[in-house]
Amino acid sequence: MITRHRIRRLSRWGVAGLALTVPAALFVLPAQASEDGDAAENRLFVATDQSVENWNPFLQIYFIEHQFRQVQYEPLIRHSAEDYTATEGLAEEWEVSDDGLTWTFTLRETVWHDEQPVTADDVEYTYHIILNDEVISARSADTVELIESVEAVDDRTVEIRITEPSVTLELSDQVIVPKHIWEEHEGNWSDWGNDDFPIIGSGPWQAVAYETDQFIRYEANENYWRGAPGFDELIFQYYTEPDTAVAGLEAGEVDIVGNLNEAQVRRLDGMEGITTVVAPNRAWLALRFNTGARTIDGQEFGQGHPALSDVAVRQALHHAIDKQELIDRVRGGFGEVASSIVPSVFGAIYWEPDDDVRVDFDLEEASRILDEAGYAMGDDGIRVSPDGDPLVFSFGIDAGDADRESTALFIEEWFSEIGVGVEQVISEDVHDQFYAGDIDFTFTGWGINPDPTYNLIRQTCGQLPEEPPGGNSDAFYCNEHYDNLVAQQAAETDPEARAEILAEVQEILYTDAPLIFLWYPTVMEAYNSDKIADVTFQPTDGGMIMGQIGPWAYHSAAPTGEGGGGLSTSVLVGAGAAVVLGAAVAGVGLARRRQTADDRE
Amino acid sequence: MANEAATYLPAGSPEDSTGDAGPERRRSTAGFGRYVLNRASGAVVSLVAVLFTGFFIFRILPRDPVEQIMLNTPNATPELEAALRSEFGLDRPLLVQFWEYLTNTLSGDLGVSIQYQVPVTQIIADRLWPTVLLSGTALVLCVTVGFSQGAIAAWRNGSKFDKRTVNIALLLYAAPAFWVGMIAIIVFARELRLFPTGRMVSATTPNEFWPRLLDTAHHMVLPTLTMSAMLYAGYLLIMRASMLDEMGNDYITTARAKGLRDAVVRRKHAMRNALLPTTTLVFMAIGNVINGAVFTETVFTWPGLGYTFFQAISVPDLPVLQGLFIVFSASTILANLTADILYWFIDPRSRKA
Repeated sequence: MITRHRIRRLSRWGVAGLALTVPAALFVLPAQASEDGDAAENRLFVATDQSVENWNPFLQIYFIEHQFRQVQYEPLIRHSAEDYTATEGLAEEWEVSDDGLTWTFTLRETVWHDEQPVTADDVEYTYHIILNDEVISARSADTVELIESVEAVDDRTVEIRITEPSVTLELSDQVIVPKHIWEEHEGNWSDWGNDDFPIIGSGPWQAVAYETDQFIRYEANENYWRGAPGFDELIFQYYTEPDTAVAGLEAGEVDIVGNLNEAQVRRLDGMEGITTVVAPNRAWLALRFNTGARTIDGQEFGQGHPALSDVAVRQALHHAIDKQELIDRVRGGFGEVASSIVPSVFGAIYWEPDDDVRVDFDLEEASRILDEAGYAMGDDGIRVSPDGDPLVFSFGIDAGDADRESTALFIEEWFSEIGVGVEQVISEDVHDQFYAGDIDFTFTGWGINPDPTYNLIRQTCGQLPEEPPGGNSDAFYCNEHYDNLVAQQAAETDPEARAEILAEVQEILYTDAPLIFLWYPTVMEAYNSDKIADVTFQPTDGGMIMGQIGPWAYHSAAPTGEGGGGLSTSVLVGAGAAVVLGAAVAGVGLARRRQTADDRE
Repeated sequence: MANEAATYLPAGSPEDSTGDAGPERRRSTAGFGRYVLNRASGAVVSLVAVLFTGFFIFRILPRDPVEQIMLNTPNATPELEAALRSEFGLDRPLLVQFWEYLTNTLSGDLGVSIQYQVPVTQIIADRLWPTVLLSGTALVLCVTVGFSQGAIAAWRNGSKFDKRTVNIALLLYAAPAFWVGMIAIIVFARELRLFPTGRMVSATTPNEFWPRLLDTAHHMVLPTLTMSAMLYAGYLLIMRASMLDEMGNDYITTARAKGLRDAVVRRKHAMRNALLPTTTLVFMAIGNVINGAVFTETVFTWPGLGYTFFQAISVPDLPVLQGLFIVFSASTILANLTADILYWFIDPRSRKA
């Protein structure tokens, strides 16, 4: 009995001891980290909320994976930091034959991360994978159709022959992979996870380690042809909750945070040592109309309102929307009035309406257009079409999207002032209903690539469904003149000539208004400007950091040499807290003893 | 709660344990076989139901996974969309998809994640350990704290300590996990900078045993405490109610009359019997350890299954949802089965049932 008691008492002390040492050890931990403070200063921490599970660059689809490809691999041609136009990558120069069918690339002399030289064979082998792997070729069917042959003429020259003139090769920023690594997986490329760390590429950073849902660690490539990056390491650190990421930025745990909302930007704005970035995004939000749902053979379907196939009605509605007011009231001022399908960040191909075509918010003008087109005002304040249909449209609104729901309220109010009624349909499957032709208009939003061809094609006649519902047409729009221009611009390799065609394409969409582009949303980011200097934005003038196409920001960022310093205070606080905790435990223990004494009495 | 606990008779009470022992023992081996078979067949029926619902329940989600992925893809093309659709078999009739799901699942293949394009089994395997570590530690912590506090609260029924303990526990129980976690982060990570805001290890920790162990322990403090604070109320209340039942019994009075110290009576006599009704509760909780804690994991960026489930719903990543649904349900069903079987040994009365 006595020994058992003694053992129990001893073990109780042991537990108490453990309870004290474990927290103490935890508080000492930050102190250890601060010993190599210089190293911490040379690491760039970036917050991310997406996971990378697949390191095979041919199979990746997400933004975080896109960023991995941008920093890990160097493509033949990159999108410039200035305005997303083509600029050098692995190719020093490139030229296209007069018939537009043969592209010749001259490679620069540079090396892979394992110091093997980059040669034309690597480029040839990359396309060999794309053309011959079943899964990969299915995913890039457009490229596969385009390419006739890829041939390494000598070590530094590659000739790619294509089946029809196209800008795709210049604008696709296809990653180039090392043949000496990938040929070990000949024939099984899509089954291979490319997860032998460190991963071999030729970009400014090399992925050296990762932990699922925790971090991805890159080391600087000292041999990068543009010069070594400013920081020694680049670390993507996971934050599943944006508010936690903001707390991490304020605590000095992470240096760059993106995907912020308005409240977070306002909070961080003006905070010492933190710089906020509010830049236009490569995206737009629009209203899209059911301009007459029909199949590719002209068979009509659905219950769309016939008046919306009348250009005059759509133009009148365009006049009845105050885009700036929406941005101010719904988006808290964060956003930019949109004109057409190419966002303003693509300076070289962006189109702005001239005075003679510009549509301003003007309810009287809207009413005048409707009067002129024969839509007379009815007694109940709702206009009636020449065919006798009252102008009441069903408006599909995505359930749970607060921005869209409040935007809809403004639009409904303006439309009612020009005699157009709106019936709201709030549902999670408004888009299915739209594609079935049963709803008159909804919101739609897209991210746009430096080559906007995919989104332009979505408005062509060929996208109408073969059978309802379906197809890839955003608004059931069909205009042969537009279709011809879209095909022309995709084949035009002279940048200026292409920009001219794109201007005309955008003007057609603006004046025909199958979609009314409301705003270009903003990207909101913040970074630790005490620690980071010389960040290159994209576009360089007023652009973004994290959503870039290219490695510009992470490559250019350099330590100011003033970061850190927060650690020593945290160690002090930690030590203090450990003491307090110890005292608390001791206090509780004492109180307990006294209680047992009371109990005994 | 008190009523629920009262339906369990105190197993250790004298008339119960002495009266049954003799005649029951004979048929107990045959009885045990039948008992286990009974319970196991119930579990199997539940598992089959899970297998069927697992497929259909997530098809109700209105969004189309491929469309969602296209919205998040920098290089979206119709070709990519079509390729993904056929790769994941989403373009085939529902019944064909169901048949494939059924045969694959039964052969242990949970399919391939739509968003990550890696096998679901790999996704689950990668995230199982962090979840078990976090939820397991939190469970041990809140069972220990909940049971001991509950026992003391009942013992001092009606005292200031009793009221304070119950009120604090209920307050924490009612507070949203998200909010408690965020407050913990703001105070201990952002302002005091004592702990990291989340994750399980730092990117800069050397990949060796001791540094990683310490680092993980450091990262675990906030999420474990948050999660335990939210959950211990359940254990506290059950233990308190169960203890109150026991305290009315004669054997307690006897023990006290023998001159035993109060703490000994409480620990060795009352609490042991009071533990019985809580067994099921603890076993159910062990089943739930795998489910993780969606909100705690989300706030603290804990790389576990709970957050993965949350995120898979937003796509919806059907194979991941199906796989997790099966794993979650199966772990709960099996934990319950284990509890049922253990009851045979813990509580003799269950042998009659």
